[in-house]
Amino acid sequence: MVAAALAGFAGYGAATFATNNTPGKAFHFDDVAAQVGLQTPIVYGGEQKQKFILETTGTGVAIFDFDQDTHPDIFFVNGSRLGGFANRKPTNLLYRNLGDGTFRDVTQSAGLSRTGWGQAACVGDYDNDGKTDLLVTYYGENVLYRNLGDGKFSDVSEPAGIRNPGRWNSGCSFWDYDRDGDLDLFVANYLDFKDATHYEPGSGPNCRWKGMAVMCGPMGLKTSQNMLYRNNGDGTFSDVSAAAGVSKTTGCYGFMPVTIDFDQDGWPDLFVACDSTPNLLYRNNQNGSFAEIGMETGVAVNEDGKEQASMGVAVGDYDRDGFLDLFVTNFSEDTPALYRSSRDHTFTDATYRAKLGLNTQFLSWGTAFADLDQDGWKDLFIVSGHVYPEVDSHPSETSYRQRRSVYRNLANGSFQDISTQAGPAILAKKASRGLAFEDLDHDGSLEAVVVNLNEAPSLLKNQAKDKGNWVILQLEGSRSNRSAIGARVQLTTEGGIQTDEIRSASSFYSSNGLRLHFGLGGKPDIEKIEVFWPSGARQAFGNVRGNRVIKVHEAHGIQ
Amino acid sequence: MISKIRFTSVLCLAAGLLLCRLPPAICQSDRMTAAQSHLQAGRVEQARKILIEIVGQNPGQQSAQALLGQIAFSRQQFGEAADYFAKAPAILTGTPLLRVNYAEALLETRSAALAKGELSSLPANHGVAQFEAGLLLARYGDFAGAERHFLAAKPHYPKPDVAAYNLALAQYSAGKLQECSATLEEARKNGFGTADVLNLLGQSYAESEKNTLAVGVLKEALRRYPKDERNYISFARILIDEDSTTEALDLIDRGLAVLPSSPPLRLQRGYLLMTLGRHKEAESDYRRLLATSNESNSARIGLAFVLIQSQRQELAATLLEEAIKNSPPDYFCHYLLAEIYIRQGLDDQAQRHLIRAESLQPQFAAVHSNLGKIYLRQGKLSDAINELETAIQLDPADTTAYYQLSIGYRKMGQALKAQQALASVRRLNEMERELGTSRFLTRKLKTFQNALASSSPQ
Repeated sequence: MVAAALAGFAGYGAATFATNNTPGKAFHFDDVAAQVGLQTPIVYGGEQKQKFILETTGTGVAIFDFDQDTHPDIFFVNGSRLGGFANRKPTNLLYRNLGDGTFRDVTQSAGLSRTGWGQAACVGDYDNDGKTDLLVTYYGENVLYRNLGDGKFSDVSEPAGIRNPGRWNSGCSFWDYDRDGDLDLFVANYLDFKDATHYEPGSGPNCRWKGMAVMCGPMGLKTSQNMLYRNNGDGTFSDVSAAAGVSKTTGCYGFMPVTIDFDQDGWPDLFVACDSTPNLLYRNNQNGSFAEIGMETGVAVNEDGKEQASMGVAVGDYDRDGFLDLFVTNFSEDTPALYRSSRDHTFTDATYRAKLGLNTQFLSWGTAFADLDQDGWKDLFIVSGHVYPEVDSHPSETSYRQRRSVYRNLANGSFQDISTQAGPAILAKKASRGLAFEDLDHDGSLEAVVVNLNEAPSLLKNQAKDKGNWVILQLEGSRSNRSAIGARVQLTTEGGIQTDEIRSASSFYSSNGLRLHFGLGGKPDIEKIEVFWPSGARQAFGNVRGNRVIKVHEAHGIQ
Repeated sequence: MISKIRFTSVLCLAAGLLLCRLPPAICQSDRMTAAQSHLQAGRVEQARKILIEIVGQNPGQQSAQALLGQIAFSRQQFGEAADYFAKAPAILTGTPLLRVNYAEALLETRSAALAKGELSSLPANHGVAQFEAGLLLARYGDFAGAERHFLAAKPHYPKPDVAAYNLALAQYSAGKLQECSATLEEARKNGFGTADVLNLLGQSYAESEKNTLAVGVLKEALRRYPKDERNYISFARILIDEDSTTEALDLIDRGLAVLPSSPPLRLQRGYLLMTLGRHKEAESDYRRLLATSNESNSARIGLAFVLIQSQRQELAATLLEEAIKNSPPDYFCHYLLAEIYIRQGLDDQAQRHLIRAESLQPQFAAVHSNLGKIYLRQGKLSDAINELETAIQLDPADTTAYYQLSIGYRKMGQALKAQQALASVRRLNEMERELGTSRFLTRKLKTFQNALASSSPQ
């Protein structure tokens, strides 16, 4: 049985060089997590009942090659439970990709076996030593792990000055906002630390749901303040939240920050998904400060001007117009939000026109634009799960565990929900949170890694054969930060242009790693690859062949 | 009826009856006598011809002018009526009820100010005329004016309970909740604790956020009038307001035990089940209602809501298309169908139904804001702004309209106005956050109920 499963997963051969227009043929996901060795559950909050909002948010996952053996590894943030544990406490989990389609738990040897109410993970080489480092946020603190390069990490939070205890740190992103060549850090904060565990279920107007007494919040609880840390270049960071204008924006239950140079001025901007409050868009003023312009640019609320329960964020150019769009997941009985970017640097809520407003039954978290059929158009993947386990014993027709959603990009500005035709792993119901995509087995197609609360994670492998050509770009900065976070890549093929940026984190509390994956459709030829580095440098490469991983160095070009 | 405001009258204002009440002095000449005979025999046209001859020969014959005015009034020829009445000032002075008709004719054809001027000259102690004046102004939406006349009528009107109730209803409608509650409490103290009085008092207290008092009154109403469905509904609203949706459902179930075939209670139950996420049960209630009252658009609309909530938009659209085809024109069916098409990204179809809804009910703000939204997407900026500004005039809490207006103004280069519109969006969202989930639900419920109540009668 294991052998059969491995044969399915470890497909190192080239992808089938064909595309087709039959939905479902290029999408068939199986969950191979157990077979490849991802079996330890992610523990988070009560399984039947949750007393406080702290127990609901769950954790993220980061995929990155920590040991530089070219095989992307998987790091899961683990959580905790009120009342503690009789036996061993759950710890974060680092799984080393052995390159044969299986993973080994190396958490302990890597020095990452920390316990606590873990939240998000984001990655980036903050010290520019060529090894990708890791930040894990907690309810209570931040932990910065420096990658020592020998398979081990060292907790440098204290000397780095980013521990910041007594806060509910949520999503995080490394980015070089001042373009000085080293990575700075943004940490969103969800809500007030004390309020997170203060109010009893049913004790106030915001502690009931459909007649049921449930945990309180976020409405009615105090918000907190997002944090910006500037990298001093010597292994330490300074809190510049006030000076940069970040702390001016209160009134956001901050979940997920993602970087996006929405105005294409070369200076990275940042979007923060805020739960039940207006989302934020920090425009980089190019002088170390930011202007918050979410409302003015059209990403703070939906087309009816209503605040939504923004959880996770995907960034991608779904319509291939050269401008990056945003997709935000929301609460059930509401639609997600697709913000389509325009040339005038504003966004339009295109949810309904893209046919993404019809499924309102899901309470969704992790999400990604990913070209799953490799036809050159980014599809959408969403994972869901309710916040109240109590719904399962309630007469309402919703459920705590919910299935995944796959939307195929129809290349005309709209999507088609193909979830029911996309394989058994899509229909499996879980209480999911974090989600990250990477090509874990070097077959050119993307696998999805999903955090499921109080269950083992999922590793969803697209077993469909009818996928298009592909290319993966792995960038390394020299003048720019070494992780190349913030670098924008524009790919020109016969079918038009595709655009993406390298970012430290997205989805919900998660990191897709630092490589960019593009589908190429029926032909493996790329007319041009352009790279716009954070340093301002620009490179262009013509007539490049796809179906391979292409390494691009800022100083030396394609390697 | 779902707490639909209504005014009661004890007088029949039919033309014939009123004519018979004219003082004998009017009918002095033979020809006048002949005209009166024709009128009493129902031969109005013959009477009219004689009266026209009389005023043709003698325009100063006020009795004939007054009768002609009344005939025109009874035929709803208000302009003509006003002209005749204007030529009979002495008769109007002696017949205050005719002055009320004159005022109505003026309201229909000239100005409210002129009409109110006429009404202000009614004798203060003429209870019936003052009462009818109150009814007239209430019918035209001038509740503050109506209140003044009902107040004047109250000490003299033959049925004090009716006068008190109508006064209170005018006060409620004018937003004078404290005065409304006081009037009703007085009526209650005087032994007029009718079902109408108790229900309105409960609603008035609830609107004034005096929920404890409201609950007390409504409990009494339920005890004394267990078959009055309005009390269950008013009480349920309070329970929802207090985050007790399940208890509200229990109460409606109690009502249905007494009144199993009450459509309003069944509609209400469906809505509550829907808000509790119990879509299948809600669907079953609405289908049951449809089966018993097949022409009920309210049930169709409720069912369409459930189908939308449970991701069956296409079925909801079919249901509404059928309703539109088979029932009298109903703006809400068109509006809801347009909502579905918007969700499906089908703006053209949505636009068609919104335009129809707008023609049927131009006072419904959401139709204008959705049309504005679509026009904006089509790049028809001035059309969009017109619709959105109309929406805000109709509903100053229409967040959609403000938000879309901000986009429209921005596109037109009106940055300051765009900022002001966004400030309104922020303010409204903050208010909504303060209201909390239950208040928001209550508001949604009220919108839903008002929509159903104002939907085409079956």
